[in-house]
Amino acid sequence: MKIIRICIFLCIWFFSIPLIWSQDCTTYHEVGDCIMDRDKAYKIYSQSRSAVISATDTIEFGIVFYGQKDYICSFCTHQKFYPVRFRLIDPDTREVLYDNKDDNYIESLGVGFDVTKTLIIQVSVLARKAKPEEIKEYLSCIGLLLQYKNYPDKKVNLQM
Amino acid sequence: MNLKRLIRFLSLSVCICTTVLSCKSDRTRRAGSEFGDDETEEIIEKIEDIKKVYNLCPSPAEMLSIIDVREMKFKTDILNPVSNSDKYMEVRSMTVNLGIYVTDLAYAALFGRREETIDYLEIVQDIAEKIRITGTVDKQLIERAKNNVDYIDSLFNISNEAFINMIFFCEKNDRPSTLMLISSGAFIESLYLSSNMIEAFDSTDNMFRHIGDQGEALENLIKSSEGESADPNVSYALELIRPLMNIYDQIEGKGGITSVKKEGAGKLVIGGKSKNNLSGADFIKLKETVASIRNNIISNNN
Repeated sequence: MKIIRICIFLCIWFFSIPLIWSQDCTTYHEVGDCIMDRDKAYKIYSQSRSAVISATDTIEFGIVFYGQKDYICSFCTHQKFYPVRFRLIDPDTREVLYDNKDDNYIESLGVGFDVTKTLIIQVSVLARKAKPEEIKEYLSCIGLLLQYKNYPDKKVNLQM
Repeated sequence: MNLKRLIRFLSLSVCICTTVLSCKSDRTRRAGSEFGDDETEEIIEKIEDIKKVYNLCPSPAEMLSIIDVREMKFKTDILNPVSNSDKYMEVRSMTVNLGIYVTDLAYAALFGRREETIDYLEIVQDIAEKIRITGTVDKQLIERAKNNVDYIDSLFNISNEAFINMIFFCEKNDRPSTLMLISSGAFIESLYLSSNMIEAFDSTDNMFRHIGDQGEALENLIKSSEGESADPNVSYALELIRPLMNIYDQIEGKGGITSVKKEGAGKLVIGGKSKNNLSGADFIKLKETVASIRNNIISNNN
């Protein structure tokens, strides 16, 4: 009887340990510390996403941004994985339209779209506070929270 | 302490530590760094090659949000009647029609139609349970809708939440084919509804521009299934949407340029030309094609 109990406890112990490394990231952009604009005019965009990331990964999100709207893109991850580096890339030309490296790795960016565009948001983490062994082995979540609101009626810059 | 107690204590401690660590949200991140800029650059170089790509699509509520409810009338006759749900017996048919119904739900919510919103929410819940997307539309969500019937914004958010819950459920439970079927049904229905809200062609109308822009969402939807096309359900979904993509591919103005204007740190404006400028003929072709695909889906003729 004692041996069975010991086995049960060891099993619980064994299966509990990997949870530290493999947490569910699905709603991390909602529960993590992505900066959210509390202005009621902003709605959460359904293309907000989270993913598992390691310090050696680069992740790309292909996002459709509708025209005549202001968006806020915010990023969050584990403490040790900051700063987050993100770039906005034109999917047709692979031209880098924006790199947050030029703005000292800011974590939140406001983008107005005059016309509808699909952009690639390329994300990686620099993990400045992680130790070298953690960079290779540690997995965490990366969250991309997108909010949007319509342009004010007067602001129209369309090219047909 | 005897051995039994020791083991219990250790197990409990590990479980508690594990739970706490895996749920941790860190809000104290700004102090100092252990890497210099040179090392950071090295890391940046290393990570350039390794990629995971997520191609994402707007929700039906967002695709329909261009409809100006102040100017346009709610049309019951363009929705898939709730009574049709009895026709769908196979999982594939149920799943693609779930995408249709969740879009009809968004349409009803957009117009603040209380009865229709609740009806479609209930049918969405029913089908979602049947295809085992459990808990995505629960009683609480329906109660919230019932309590917020006078608030259009709340109904819009609830319909959006229903769709997002389904998407997250499929992603979390590794069901890419279910995700593709729902998303395809939702895309087809949103294009069908928005094209049927237009009475006459006017190239300066925002609705036309928006229908043209849906080509971008469709492209992303197709890209999202890359690597899954061997799955018969994904391949079926691709067959459904392919004729629409063929029309978008032929539209003039493909490859619009992109301009970027920086308005201080943390603010950009992206402009340029639209990729898909619909002509009257393109619009009619698109409207007829999507109607044919959609009517086959809802009448279970596929």
